[in-house]
Order: sequence, then structure tokens, then C-alpha cells
Amino acid sequence: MTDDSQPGPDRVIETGPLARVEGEGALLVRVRAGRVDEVRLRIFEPPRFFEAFLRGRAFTEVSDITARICGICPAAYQLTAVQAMEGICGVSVTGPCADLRRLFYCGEWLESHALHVFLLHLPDFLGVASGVELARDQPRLVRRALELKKAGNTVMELIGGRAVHPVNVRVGGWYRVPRRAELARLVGPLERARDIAAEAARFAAGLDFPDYTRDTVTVALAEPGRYPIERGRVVSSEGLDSAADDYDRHFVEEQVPWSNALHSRLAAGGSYLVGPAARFALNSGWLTPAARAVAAEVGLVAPETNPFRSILVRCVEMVHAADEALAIIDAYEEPDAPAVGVVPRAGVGHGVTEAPRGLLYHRYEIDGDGTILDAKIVPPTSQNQRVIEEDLRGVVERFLDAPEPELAARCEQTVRNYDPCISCATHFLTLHVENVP
Amino acid sequence: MWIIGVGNRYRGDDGAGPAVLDRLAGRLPAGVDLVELAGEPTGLLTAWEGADAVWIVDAVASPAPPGTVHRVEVADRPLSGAIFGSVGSTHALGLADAVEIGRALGQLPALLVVYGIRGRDFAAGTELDPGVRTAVDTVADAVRAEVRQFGEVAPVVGP
Repeated sequence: MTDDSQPGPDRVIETGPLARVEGEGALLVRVRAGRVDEVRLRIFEPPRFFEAFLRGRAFTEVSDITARICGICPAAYQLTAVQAMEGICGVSVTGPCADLRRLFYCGEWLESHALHVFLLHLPDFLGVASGVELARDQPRLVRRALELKKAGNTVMELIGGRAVHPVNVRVGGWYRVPRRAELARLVGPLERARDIAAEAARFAAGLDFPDYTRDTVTVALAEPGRYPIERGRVVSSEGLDSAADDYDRHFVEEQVPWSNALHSRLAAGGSYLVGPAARFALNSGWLTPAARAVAAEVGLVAPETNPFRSILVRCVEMVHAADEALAIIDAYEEPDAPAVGVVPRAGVGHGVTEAPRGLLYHRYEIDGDGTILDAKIVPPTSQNQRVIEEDLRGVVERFLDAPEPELAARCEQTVRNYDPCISCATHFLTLHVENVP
Repeated sequence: MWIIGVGNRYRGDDGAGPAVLDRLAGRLPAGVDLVELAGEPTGLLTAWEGADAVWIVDAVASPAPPGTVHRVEVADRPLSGAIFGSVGSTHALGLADAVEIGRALGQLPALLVVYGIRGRDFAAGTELDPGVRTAVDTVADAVRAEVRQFGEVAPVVGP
């Protein structure tokens, strides 16, 4: 695998075969003569299958089908898809029905961030092997994590109908909307979730963060007055300010030889970052006062350029999601109808939302009968691929003198800074470090 | 009592668990609930919270031939990480991890039975392997029999 004519020890760090789902993902970092020679993150992407699967289906089926792309973030896929379809058909969902979508999405942020922060990312910082060991060492902490996640789960079940593959979202609104009294039941768990998230941020602020920063273009949605969640314009740290319709002009996907996933880059060239750190960098002023206060308390200042500190941003976003969910519930008035009527018409539509992991883009073309002719789905993880690879390169070069197990752990932690989606982008299992003679 | 089908219907044989739920729907006594989950551990922990008896059906990748059925009671011992999702892995967390987190927190049902159906192909798609389809019927019958037997020993209290 390496060229023996080069001086110095060669090292190959790679993920092993994947136990449960073959070909799901792999990481390879090759070090030659003290320099990182090659970084390859290989990701398998179910969205590609779904793009083909959606063709020929009725436009009304998108919410049910896209909900199955990812078990962790079904709301993101559903709400992006229906937004695109509503754009084609010339309808907009407003008022309480739109507020419910934001509330639904807040539930997903809570669920997804709680899982990642506590069970996937925190073990790296605490030096324990996994969430299982963390549960043994710190049962109180993990119980709170589960309580926080359950609050999000409860929001999603009440509004979405079913937590894993929600069935209540439809083009034009909802099949059924909740009564005020039903939403009131969420208040207690959400208040508690907000407290737990704030406490988690304080706890995370005391972690030992590797001394590593990087400069990167950040991309997120933005809308004056609101932290971006379920809609907005696409903006960047470089001054981009674009409607969803123009996404394909500014970002391109390309095939790389080592992965069947597409990698995204800026049309003008170069990598870009999406996700919590990008949202925070571009929109920190629109966090709720409670979330802003926690950010200030734990020393988070936008832009945060240390990717390892993304765990803090996720904690602050959980405070925000709980806080904002409570505000939506407080102001909620039951709408007259759960949905507006939608008549299909031929056209192309675009949807953008902020999935927990970052910007999610959908594009659909339908005919006059509402049959889907074409679908394109760009998940956040494929947009972050290049930045992840650049970080791996930087981190490995910085910590090259570390013992191999430590370096391998650092690589895993680096990948996890981006919370690559368990279901929709990649599975990693054991990481092997190999000495090449 | 809960019966949990773990898997994704759009990932080939990973749909074995949900397929078992389809076979059982409408064929169980009152007080037995069916739930389909993606397999992420906290979702499992939440789903079985407060239940006295839980059966889980999941597709697995083991050295055995496709369609092979594994049955494990996890009250006293861990699931094989190699088959049910690696315990101690720092990347993905699976069913085996959910069981061990539940054990560490004292949140395991008194009876927790896991059926694993060995899948052949987990690539994107909606078809089950013929061997897996047969195993789905076998497991559905076995779970139904176990639920009935459990109900005779411990009277079922409806919701």
C-alpha cells in the first residue's frame, strides 16, 4: 500500500470492514515520511437510491418516502421535500401550520443533538470507549441525556404521529393538527430539557479541547429575526445570499474515485462547512436570549473555529430548540384547517432546511399530473466531506508524534465533530491502525 | 408487552424486523404493542421503558447462512456485539449497545428476547432474500407463540 522507497515510518489508519452494513463507510489516512500523504473518507449514501426510487411516484408521496432515508432526521427530509413541492405548486404554508413545522423540527434537533453529544461525542472527550461505558461510569449523566432526547421524541410523536418515520407531514400542511391542550403536555418536559441542555453546555465547557483551529467558508440558512431551522435563504461567510432556487449555481457535487458518495464543493472552488458551527457563525445573534446567555457563559463566540468545540454549539442549539419550542407552544392557536389544497402543476422546485447536521437541499421536477420526473437530494454530510478530510489531514499532522491508538482515537473524534449521519451517510465501526514495514 | 421490529424497509434484508411486525399485525392479543424502530439505542431504551416483556426482531450479519435465526434472552448476558452491532464501538451504536446501556442504568425489561435474522443483502432496495422471507414467517410464529405463553403465565393488562 505504500512506496517503500520513501524514508521514515509509513502509517496507515483505516476503518475495518463494517459489521452490519457492508460498504457503508470507511476512513483511510496514509502517512508517509512524516507527512499526510492521503486522506480518503468513503461514504455510502442511501439518498442516491431514494432519488431513483422517487422517480415515477406521486408528488404527494415524498413525505412518506423521504422520511425513510434517515432514522435520525426524518423531519428534515420530509419538510425539505414538501417545501420544494409546495414551491412548484405555488402554495405556501403559513400561520400555525408553519409554526408546527418549526416546532416539529425543534423536536428533531433535540433528539439528534442529544444522541450525538452524549452518546457519540462525549465518550471521546472523557476517554471512555463508548456510550455503554459512559452509562456504567456516569449513569446520572446518561439518564439525563435520555430524558433530554425523550423530550424531543415526545414533540415529534405528538406532531409527526410517529417518531421514527413520521406520517403526519403532507404537501400543503398536515393530516392532523394538535389541540392546544395536547401541546400543553409538552411544556414540562421541554422546560426540563432546556435545563438539562444548559447544564450539559456547562459540563462540556470544562472538557479538554485539542488545540486546533481552521479557517473555512461557512454556509447556512438565514432569515432576519430567526435562527435558521426549517427555511431561509442560503448565505455564506463569503457574502453569498441566495434563494434555494439558485443552490445549484453556487454549489456543485462531484464524484471522487474512492467513494460512491458525491462530494460537494463551492462552484467557485473549495470546501465549505455546514452544520451547527456554520449556523452559529452566521446566525448567533438570532439565538433566543436563554441560548445566547448560555453561549456567553460557556465562552462561545462566533465564529467558533475549533471544530472540537462543536459539541458546545450543539448544547447551545439544544437550549435554543427547547426554548423556541416552548415559545411556539405558548403562542399556538389551532388553525381552521390542517392543510391548504394543493393542485399539481408541471415544474421544478427547491427546498432547503437546516437538518441537525446542516444544510439539506432537495430539488424535484414533476409533471402536470404530479408525477415525479426527477429528484436530487444533497445531505449535509456530503457537503462536509471535504472539510472533514481537510481536518483529518490537519489533525494527523498536528498530532503525528502521538502513539498510534491515541492518533486513531483523535481521527475518530475529528470525524465525529461533524456528526456524520449514522443512517443516511455513513456507519463507522472499529478503526484499525496499521504499521506498514 | 412490546414487540419491536428494528430495521429499514428500504435497505434490503434490513427490513426483516419490520416485515415480522407486518406478519403479526392484527394477530396478537390486546395489550401487545408493535413498534418499528431504526435501531438507534436511545430510541430502543425509550420504547421498552416500563415494559415487563419485550421481543425484538432485528436483521443481523453473522457467519451463518442467510435466513438463519438467532434467539437470545439478554437478562443475564450481553448480546454478541459481532452479530448485533458492536459493543464498545465508538462510532455507530446498535442494539447490543442499547441492551448494555439499559443494563447499566437498570432499565432492562424482566424478559427481553432478541431474535436476529441473518440477512444476505443490505444494499438499498425493498426486496427480502427468499431465505430471509421464510425466516420472517418462522420468527413471527415463534414470537406469537411466546407472547401467548407469557400471557398465560402473567395475565395481560390492557392499556
